[in-house]
Amino acid sequence: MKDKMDVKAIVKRAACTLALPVLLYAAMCALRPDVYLNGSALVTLFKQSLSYTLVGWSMVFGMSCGLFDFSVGARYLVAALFGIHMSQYFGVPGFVLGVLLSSLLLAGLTGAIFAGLKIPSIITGFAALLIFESAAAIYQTKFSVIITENISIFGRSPGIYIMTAITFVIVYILFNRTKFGYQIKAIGGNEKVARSMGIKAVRLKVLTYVVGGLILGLAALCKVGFDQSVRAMTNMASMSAAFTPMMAVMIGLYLGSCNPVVGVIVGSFSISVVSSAMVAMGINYRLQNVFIGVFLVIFIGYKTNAGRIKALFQRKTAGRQALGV
Amino acid sequence: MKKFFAVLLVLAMVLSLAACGGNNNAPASEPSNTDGSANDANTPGDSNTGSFKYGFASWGTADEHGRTLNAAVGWGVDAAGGEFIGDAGGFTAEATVASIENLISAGCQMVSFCTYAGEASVPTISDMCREKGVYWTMWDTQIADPEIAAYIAEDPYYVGCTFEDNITSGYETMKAMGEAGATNVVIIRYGSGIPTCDERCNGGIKYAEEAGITIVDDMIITDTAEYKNAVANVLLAHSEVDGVYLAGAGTASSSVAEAFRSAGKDTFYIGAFDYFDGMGDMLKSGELVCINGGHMVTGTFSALMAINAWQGNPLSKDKIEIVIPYLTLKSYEDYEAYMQYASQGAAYTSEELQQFLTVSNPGLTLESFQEGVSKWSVSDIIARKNG
Repeated sequence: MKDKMDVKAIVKRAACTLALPVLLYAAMCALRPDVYLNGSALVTLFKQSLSYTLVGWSMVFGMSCGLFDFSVGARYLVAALFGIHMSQYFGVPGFVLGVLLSSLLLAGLTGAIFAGLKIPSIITGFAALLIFESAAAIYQTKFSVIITENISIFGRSPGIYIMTAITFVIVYILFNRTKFGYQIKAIGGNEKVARSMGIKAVRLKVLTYVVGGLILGLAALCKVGFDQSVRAMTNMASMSAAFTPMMAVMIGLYLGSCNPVVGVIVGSFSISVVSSAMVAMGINYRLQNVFIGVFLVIFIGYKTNAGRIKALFQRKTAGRQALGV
Repeated sequence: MKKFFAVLLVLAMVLSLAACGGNNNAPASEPSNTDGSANDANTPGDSNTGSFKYGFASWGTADEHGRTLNAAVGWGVDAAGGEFIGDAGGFTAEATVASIENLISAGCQMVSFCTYAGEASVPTISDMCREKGVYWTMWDTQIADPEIAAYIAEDPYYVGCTFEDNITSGYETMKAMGEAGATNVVIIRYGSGIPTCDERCNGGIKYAEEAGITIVDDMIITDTAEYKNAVANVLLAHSEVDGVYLAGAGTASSSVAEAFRSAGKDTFYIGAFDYFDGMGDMLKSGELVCINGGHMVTGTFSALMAINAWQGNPLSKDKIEIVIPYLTLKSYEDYEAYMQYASQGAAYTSEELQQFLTVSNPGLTLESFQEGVSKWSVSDIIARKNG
């Protein structure tokens, strides 16, 4: 009996988790069956969503304990440029080590500024963003940014799938099976209570920067090959690189029916479907961000107020029943 | 103790405010100092000799275009014996104003900027330059707003502007794509309401209409990291697409090519504006049909126009408008010539550039200046370097 209940609960949770992307995709299939009713469209959209997913996973630790770091895009740029530069001397090992080490270093530096100066994460993020953007802009002039075939393997199939699977396992274990993960959730739930339980919140938050930096490094390995171009940006333009993954993480955190690590995949894929749908339906590109913004507001608005909406419907139903309607 | 610190802080603040205030109403008609020392106002029409500081506002030197643009202004300023001062903060209209303010504060007798962030800041900059007696030009800019054009026409310190013939270049780019075999093209703009971008697209659309090329989609993407996904989405919805016309951000060409390859398409045509690091390989492979750039001399010739005016030899009594040709690369050979002579070295020698200054070439006229500028092309560079 208990097993039956468990299966029912698992099926219900899976259905709730997949409802958003499945409904979106089904809507697209209904509107443009010629485009979306085939396996290759699904694969293309899934592959597109992977770069958002990977960057999103690097943010899930911090965002779970209330840290908003907009420097992710700028850190990615510096790490990617350094990796590409190193690849010109040491090949693929230079690329991998260059990206991972620089990403770790920059994340550690951002975390140290946050903890050392006790500046709110959002301010730290903006300051780091400006510094790293400028560093990337200066650094880019020192060499030719050419992405060769050999360093692109991480962003192409099957490399991107293998890297995503490896990153998923790392992130899932860190988030769900370690003391670090439990403590993040405790801080995200209620920081005061977590502190009273002896959790060192500041140290933990710095650690989320470092772990996020490692995951961002893995994401950068894939993203460089996937995008096939890296270009330094200035005047906070790199912030846009953090927005879509951040939205995916928000969807993941608000889903509730699944683990946030899985939720990020769902969020990224849903956003990819919405973006693709805009093009397929011929919606003016100027309006696409409006649609994505509205979609996010509706989704998170619904999730945040689900209890109140449910109670409202229940009250109306009870009222009707009382009136005998 | 606290009161003491409070009083001290208030005093410090008052003193610093007084110091910062300065006298901003210094008359522009103060006698000009011909030794070119910083912050001295010029009187329109005065002859100035000797060294000078030339201020140039741009978005930076991170990309190939920004790097070569700043370097090319340096060629002109060096040839005239001045000092080049660059400010790389001008990405928004407000930042452009701040950049010009910084350059004037740094003692520049001439400044130059571009209106890629919009024309709204032009009257403010005009006022600033008029007040400080600083000659100014605009590079890569042609003012579209008639009121702003009328306003700056009255400014004695405004020399003129240089700009590219974007419509013709857009037309030629689409033509190159069409001749290569493109039949269904997507246009990607790098921004909204930017005259340069719109003109490039208008030229491209004009040829497409004439040649029967279908414009499948016309989109705006500001973030180069999004180009691949955008093209992948277009290819999902319109599998017939075989060409992408990039109105700017040429560096995204490799992302666009990757989107085609991921969709299983091996034959496609990309036409683009703005040079990037990997363009040589893409020209060699034929994926990139045509790329326009090399208009870094827009900054060089703006500088030479301003220097002529500062030296008391304006090329015209009216405001000058000079059309700069693009360096259009259609083959790997073109690319090699560009790299050898224009990117890694100075495309003009100092002696060649001095021919655009009346002090060195007394016979210089506006017409001969424009004629010399119009020669700017890969073949012209090769001919000068070999000859």
